[in-house]
Amino acid sequence: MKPTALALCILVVGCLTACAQSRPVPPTLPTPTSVGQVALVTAVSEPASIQQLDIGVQVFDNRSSNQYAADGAVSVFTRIREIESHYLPVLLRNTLVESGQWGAVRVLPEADPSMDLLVSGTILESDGTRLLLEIKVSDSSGREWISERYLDQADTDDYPEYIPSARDAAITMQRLDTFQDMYARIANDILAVRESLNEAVLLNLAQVTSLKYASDLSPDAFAGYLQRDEQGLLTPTRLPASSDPMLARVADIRARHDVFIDTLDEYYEGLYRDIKPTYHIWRQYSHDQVVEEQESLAREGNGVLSSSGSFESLARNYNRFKWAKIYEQEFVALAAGFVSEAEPALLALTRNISGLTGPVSVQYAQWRQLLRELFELETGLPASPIGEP
Amino acid sequence: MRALLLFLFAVSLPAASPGFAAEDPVASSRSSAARPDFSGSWERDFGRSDRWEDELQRTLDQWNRLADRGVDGGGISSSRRRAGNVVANARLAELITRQTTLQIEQDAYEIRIKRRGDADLVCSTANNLEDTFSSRHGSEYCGWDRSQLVFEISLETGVLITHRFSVDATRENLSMMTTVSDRRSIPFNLRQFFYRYDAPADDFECVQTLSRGQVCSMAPRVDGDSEAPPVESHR
Repeated sequence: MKPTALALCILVVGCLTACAQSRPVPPTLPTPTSVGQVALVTAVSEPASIQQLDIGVQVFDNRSSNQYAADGAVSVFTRIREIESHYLPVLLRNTLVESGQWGAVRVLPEADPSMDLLVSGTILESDGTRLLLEIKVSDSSGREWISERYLDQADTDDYPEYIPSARDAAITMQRLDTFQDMYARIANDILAVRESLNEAVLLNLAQVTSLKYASDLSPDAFAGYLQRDEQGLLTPTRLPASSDPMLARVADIRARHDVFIDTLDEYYEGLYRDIKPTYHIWRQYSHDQVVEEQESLAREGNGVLSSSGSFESLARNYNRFKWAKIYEQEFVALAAGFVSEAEPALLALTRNISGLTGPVSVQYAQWRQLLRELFELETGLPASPIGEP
Repeated sequence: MRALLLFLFAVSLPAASPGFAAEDPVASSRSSAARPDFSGSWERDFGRSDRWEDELQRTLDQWNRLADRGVDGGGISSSRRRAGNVVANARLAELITRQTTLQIEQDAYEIRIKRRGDADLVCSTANNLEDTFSSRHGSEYCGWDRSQLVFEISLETGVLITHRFSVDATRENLSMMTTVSDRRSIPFNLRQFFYRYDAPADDFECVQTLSRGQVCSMAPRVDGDSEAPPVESHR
């Protein structure tokens, strides 16, 4: 073998190895069937207080398989996924609130120990025709309520006949989200799990949440109150006396914590209100693009093109390529338009709260650390640094 | 797999067209490895640009000479068929290079060549090859061959179109070499020259939005007058 050929082989093999490492093949998980039409189960009367669990919906993770985001070549689509990771949790939060089945429901930048239930989600696919989410719900004891993928599909009837403009913002604000059925299904599934739990379990859960939050503030003082049972779930070993002054201090700190995360939640709600009209328009463009692509494919008979070699044949084939590219470039321009409109709302999330600075997730961490230090000052007990349970 | 294709493209690019740089007087006057600045407005220099009919005749003559010497390797009917393909390729080259002006935007990251009636050619200024567009009708790659910017379009039917851009050291002259080839015929090359011109400044600065179309405002004037309030327009 000549040296150059050998070098070429080494390079090709090297590239093959590198390619395999740089682009891991995602595991092929089954895609669920579409949720279809779902009616949200709403409370006829106010649920018992023990059933009114507080829910934290974390900002979604983004592992979109969207080709643009995966390629990393067109950052504008990556930016849209970032916006969606903040926007979609608010839709789920609003659905849970609308059901009237729960206590406080808040959108949070991180997992929060003061919540009875934590909802986390990952955006797997999102365009105008499909939304695929992976949702996990677990309670403060560590019990997994839900770990499922949810798929919803939209068709032309789910969108207005004409793409709305800024003048239609008032109407658009009233419109349900195209994938509202999915959020209703998730809310109903969470409710179904709660309904399957007896009163003793729910009471236990409320106690675990309180002790978990206290333990998060000061492990030295409260860690002994909780232990894991044989299933690995947190359970109270004993309860502090109701007159325990330490508990009163924890309650005081928790009240301040609640105010802070209420403020955060309002910021997410503000982002939702600011983005919603534009996001609807974006979704509709995205839907139209997918439909146009499908119809174009059908018109061309599965893409079988003539290749007679005549000029007419060459010109026809080039024009098909050209128009596909022009259409995609226009779509990218629309995506950039959406991002430029949504960007101020996302930036608003970095507004300073209570004198803190930085992105909302950083401010959240700073606040929790401040509360720990405050608790330490008041009680003289050592507080755990943030991140340590 | 995609990365492998890019790698093979990188290997094949200089090998597939070794003569272009040598044949291109604009390119040969440059030796810098840095990215040249293509930005600006360019108008076709008809005096220096190839006429496609002349180029076609020259290619056919060359082909006939090769056929007479038996280099073609096929019979008379094969030669005629290949000549027919050259004509089709030449007409396609003429069709896709009809623009008399080009607008080129370039920054530290990206170069965008705007052509009236056709999609923009967009490439990163980074030192790598990339697939810039892919559909079932074909795919487009771009990359840099020394100081030349190269776009390679593979149509689904096997036709390969290459645009090779270079600019001279004075930044006053730009050349675009377009090659159309397929496996049934010899490549057809068409070279166009452009010279820089000063396009009138746009009176508006526009931002694309989704809900209001393009929102434009008066561009700030050189004398420092305050900017006019934005006006909505659909440009």
